[in-house]
Formats: sequence, structure tokens, C-alpha cells
Amino acid sequence: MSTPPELAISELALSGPTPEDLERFLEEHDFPIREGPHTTFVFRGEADSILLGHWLFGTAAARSMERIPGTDLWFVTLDLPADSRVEYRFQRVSGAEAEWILDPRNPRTVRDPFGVFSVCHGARYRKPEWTEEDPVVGRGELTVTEVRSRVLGIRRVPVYTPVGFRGSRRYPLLIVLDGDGYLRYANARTVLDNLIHRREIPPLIAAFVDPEKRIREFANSASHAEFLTADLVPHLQQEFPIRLRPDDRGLVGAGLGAVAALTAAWRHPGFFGKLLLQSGSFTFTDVGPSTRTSLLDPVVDFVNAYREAPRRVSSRIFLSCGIYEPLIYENRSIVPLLRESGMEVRYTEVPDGHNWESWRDRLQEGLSWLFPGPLWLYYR
Amino acid sequence: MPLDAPRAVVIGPQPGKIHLGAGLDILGPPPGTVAAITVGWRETEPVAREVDRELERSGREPAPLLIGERVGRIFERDPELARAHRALQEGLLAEEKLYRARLRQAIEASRAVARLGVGERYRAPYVEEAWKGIVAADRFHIEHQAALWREFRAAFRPTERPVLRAEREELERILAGSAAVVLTGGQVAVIRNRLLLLDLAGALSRLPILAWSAGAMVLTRRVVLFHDRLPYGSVRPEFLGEGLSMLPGAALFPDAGGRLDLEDRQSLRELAGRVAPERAVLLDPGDQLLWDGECWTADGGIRTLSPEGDIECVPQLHPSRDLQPPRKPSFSPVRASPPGSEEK
Repeated sequence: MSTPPELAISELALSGPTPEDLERFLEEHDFPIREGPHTTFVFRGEADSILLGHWLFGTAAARSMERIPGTDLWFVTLDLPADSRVEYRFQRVSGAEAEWILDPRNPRTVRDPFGVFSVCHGARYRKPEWTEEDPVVGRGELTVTEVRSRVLGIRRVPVYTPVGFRGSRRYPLLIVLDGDGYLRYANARTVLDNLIHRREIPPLIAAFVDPEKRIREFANSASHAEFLTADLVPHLQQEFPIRLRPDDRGLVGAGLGAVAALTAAWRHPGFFGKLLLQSGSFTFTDVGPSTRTSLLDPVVDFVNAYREAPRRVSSRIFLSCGIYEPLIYENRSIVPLLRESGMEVRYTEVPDGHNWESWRDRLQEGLSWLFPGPLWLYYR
Repeated sequence: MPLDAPRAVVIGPQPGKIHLGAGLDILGPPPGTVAAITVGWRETEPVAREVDRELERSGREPAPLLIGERVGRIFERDPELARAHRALQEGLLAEEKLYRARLRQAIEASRAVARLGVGERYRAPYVEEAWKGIVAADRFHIEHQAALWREFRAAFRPTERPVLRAEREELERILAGSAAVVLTGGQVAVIRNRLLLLDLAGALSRLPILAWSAGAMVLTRRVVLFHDRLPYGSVRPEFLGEGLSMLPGAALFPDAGGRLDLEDRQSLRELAGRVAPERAVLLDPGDQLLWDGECWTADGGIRTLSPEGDIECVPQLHPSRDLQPPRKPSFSPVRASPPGSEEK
């Protein structure tokens, strides 16, 4: 057994535990068990095998759990940085049957478009307070505007206006791709309310846009880029008091949405002064065709072309990526290219995965760097 | 007012509820009218009400100057001045960006030269020259910001325009009937901007003042912006521009414990050098400095930065005697890029 001997689970395993010992052990600990850098995931139940799936899409990162001989208690110990945040589920395999289940001993869960997951917080991970609603903070409003696009048809777009909004002022504009996900799973509205209240970003207007055919629209699509630049932004400028300079215009995306943001900026260089790219699916190939789905070929073509001839597409780019996601390699690879092309680039890696809460947790750093608020002018 | 009362009391930051009691008593005993300047805060924020309550609780009558409202009225009734003022702001912001770009390069050059492993004999003159680059960037910016203001004043003569003049006369009337002034913290650029626009330095200098944080910074000769703990890290300190020069000899750093990285001795040394000949004075909650027109004093001493970047406590600060010469820098880690600002 490679589990360090000083861990509680090792002591239990070595003691030849009775069912009563197991019960006592389960009652005495919070799960997963965090001991220094070691995190032990535990499951109790009959099965042929138990896997720990600790990435969003599960199987690729699944780890087999070990059974304490003579018992129905399974465990696996991982070394995780103390500020980690890991979403996971267990896969119980019995005969030909396999099912994903939540950790019944961990009350922390998170919901995203793919379902509900258990969450393991490292000893130093704290949910940022600016992601929570604060009763003293005024709330911005969300209204829906209808954009008639020549290329994508009619789109209904929720638009955030900040508390204290005045038609006589002009505001920076943030366009958020996968807007519903950011609102629903990353608390974007509350985050904007709080960051504006704390003066970490200026009051701004944010449009939350959603695709109808995500892969087709986000995978380096000329139509989508045209929708953003020729339909959406002019429409918003007519409907809302928005500043017109590119440096007051930002585009946000995660995963394939980050690709959509970067490719839109690439097709219309200088149009978006600020880009916030989270866990971008910047797939590329050095040799031969990509092994990923052919639907992503346009992305591969774009990233390969960008690697061949990097160019300045924006003035400031904030990138973030989780070290537990397979895209870390792609993100690390694109950063020097973006910098080479003369853009100001800030890149942050975090001990988290490809998920909405990780993207939520980076919004303070990313938005306040792209759109610095007046905080440093305030002296109480 | 007692004859030996100080001309100004600078208190530490007021992060929670505002407490003025002891500072007010130093300025003079109640009763009396105290003019209050709270323009650094939005109207929706409770600071103005808290100041009024504090004054009333101490047996004094508050006289809010309502400078924000007045300036709003001035711009509404004198659109030409409003346009000119907006153009001035755009110019100030443009210069700020230019200054920031130049300053970043100057600081990086200075640190790069200082850390090169060559003989001191060869390095010293380069260090000296690189340091001059930082000082020159600061000085050039401060002078050019002042020049923009001078051009604005010369072209539009704001204090001679009827709308502004009427508001200003009303302010001077209130100040003339007041025993003291309270100037709160808040958005430092807004406070400075409004006081400069209304040209209130003369009227304010005739009264004892209790000020803190942004309000106190504006009263010094040059205002320095600083913050080492923004969500994305630290920024290089920048000069906002000239202040009202009512409190000489000190560059004020309120909430020093919260905003400055006091472990980063190299940056502190640079800071001390850049604000010279003023002395960098650190202020935290509970601090109280007195300015009697000649000298700064404080119970328990004044926390300042030595030219070497050490925090030292001095019993007094005599601007005419203690001004320090500009210092040379040496290496420290490169810091993060600076933030923007909403108004200069």
C-alpha cells in the first residue's frame, strides 16, 4: 500500500477493523479526510470496484479505490495542494453495471449543466466572500433585449445594468459568452454587484449571450464573430449608454467560449480591448491530425495558424486555467504566443478543475485587472 | 479657539464608524459651527450623516458644505464650464497613462541596473542616472498636470464665472462663520478636483482643520496614490499631482498597515526617495498628528520612512529642518502593473 502509514486510513487498514471499528471511524471523521497534504476519499458499500472520478468528465481521470481487506470500505489518498478545490463523484461497478454517485459522506455539492457533483475543499480553500450575496450591497438589474442578427437570427440577451445606473453616464461593456452558465453557476450577477460595490471594478454594463449551436458557433465561426461585432455591440450601443472605445469593451468566455472570444478578437483585431479567457480549449497539433473530435477541427486550424503567426488582437488578456484539467497544457502553450504579439497578458493557474466555480473564483482577479476600479483612489 | 491650538489635526483612517471626539477637542472647545467637507463620498453613502452626528454629539453645530451638490449645480447651469472641465479631465487622464507607461519603464530600468553584478565603481553612476529617470518622470507628470489646470483656469476663469462665483461666495460665507473645518477621507481625486475647481485653499487655510486619509492627503504638497493589496497584487505608487500645500513636510500614507507591504523594504526605500524632500508619514487607525504651523507632533511619535526605507518613529517633524534629500534606489522585485482611475 502506497498510502503513508501515519494517515488515519492506514491505521484503520492495518488494524484489521471490525464492522464496529468501521462505523466508529466513519463517525469520527469528516469526509474526505484532510491530513496535511493528503486527502483521503472514502466510500463504504459493496461493489466489484469503486473509482474516484475527480474531473468533470470523469473516466479519463478516474482513480481506482483500494478496498480494506475483509471489509466493504474503499479508499484512495491523493496529495492535493491545500488551496485545492476538486469536484468528484464515485463510480460503483458491479458486474456489467456502473453508476456515478455522489459521496454520501460529504455534504458539499455543486451543480452545473452536467449534473451534481461532490466537492472537496482543501484545508486552505475558502469560498470567496465576494461571490455571496451581501445584504448591504445594492443589486444591479437584469433586463432582456432582443437582438436581430443578420447572421444568427433573433437572440434574446439578458443585460446587466449596475445599481445607481444613470442614462446620462457612459459605461464600459462586458460581453459574457455562455451567459446563462455564468449567471446560473458562477453567480456572475452577484459577483458584479460585489466587485462594483467594493470599487474593484467600475460600474459597467454586461450582456450575457448564449449560443444556440454551441460547437458550431464557438469553434472559430466567422458568423459568430460577425454577430458579436456587427450586430450585438451596435445594438447594445443603441439601447444602452455604452462607451465606444475598444479599451472599454471586454469579452469573456470559458472552455470553447474562450476560443469563441479569442477567435472573434482575431477576426476583428482591436475591436475588443479586453479579453477574459478561462480554461480555453486551445487545442492544437504539432504533428499530424488532432485526436479530438473532428467538430473541433476549426479550433485546431485556428490555434495552429495562431501558433504559426501570433498577432496582436486586443490590448489586455487575462487567462486562467485549472491545473487539474487536461487543458492546462494548451493554455500554458498559448500564453507566450499572446505575450510575443505585444499584448499585456496575465495568466493564472489554480488548483481546480474545468468547472464553473473555478471560473467564478477567478472573476475578481480577472475583471479587476482588465477593468480596474477606483479602489486605489479611496482612502477611508 | 485657544491661542496654542494647532492649525491642523490629522487622524488615522476611519474604516468603520467615524470617531472625531478627541481630535475636535484639540482644535478648540465647543460650542461652535464646524464646516464639513464630505465630497469624497457618494451622496448615498452614510459618511456625511455620521460626521454631522459626531459634531452634534460633541456639542457643535455641523455646517455641511455640500460641495458635490454645488459642483453638480454649477455644471448644470454653466454647460460651457462643464464641457471645459470634462475636457480637462480627459487631458489629465491621458497624461496619467503616459506617465504610467514612462514610470514603469523608469522603475524597471532602475532596478535592472541596480541588480547587475558589476563592480560598484562602474555601476554607481548608472544607478544614479537611472534613479534620475524615476524622479524626472514624477516631476514631469506633476508639472504637466499643474500646467493643464493653469491652462484651464486661464482660458475659462472659473472663479469669475457668475454661477461658480455665487456658490463660492456662499461657501466662503459659511467658512467665515465656522470655528473649524472637518475634511473626510474618500475618493482623493474627487476631493482634490473639487477643491481646486472652487479654489478653496485660501478660505480653508484661515481655519483649523481636522482631516483624515484622502482629505488630509489633499492638504499636502503632493498627493501620492498607493496600494500594494489590490485583488491582482500591488501597483507602483504614482503621484496624483499637487495638493493644496497647506500641510508641509509630510507625504501621508493612510492605512499604511493595510495598503502597504511593509516587509518590502526596497519598495519602501524607493517610496521614501520619491516623496523627498517630504517625509513619508504612515498613518493607521488611532493615530493622531498635530500641525502647529511650524512642526508636526504626535503622542508616542510620528511613524515615518527613513531614507533607507526603515520605519522609524520620530518625536517631531520640522519641515524647515528635517527635509531629506532625494535618495538613490537599489534593486527590488518588479511589481504588478498599475490600475486605472475614474477621475483625476
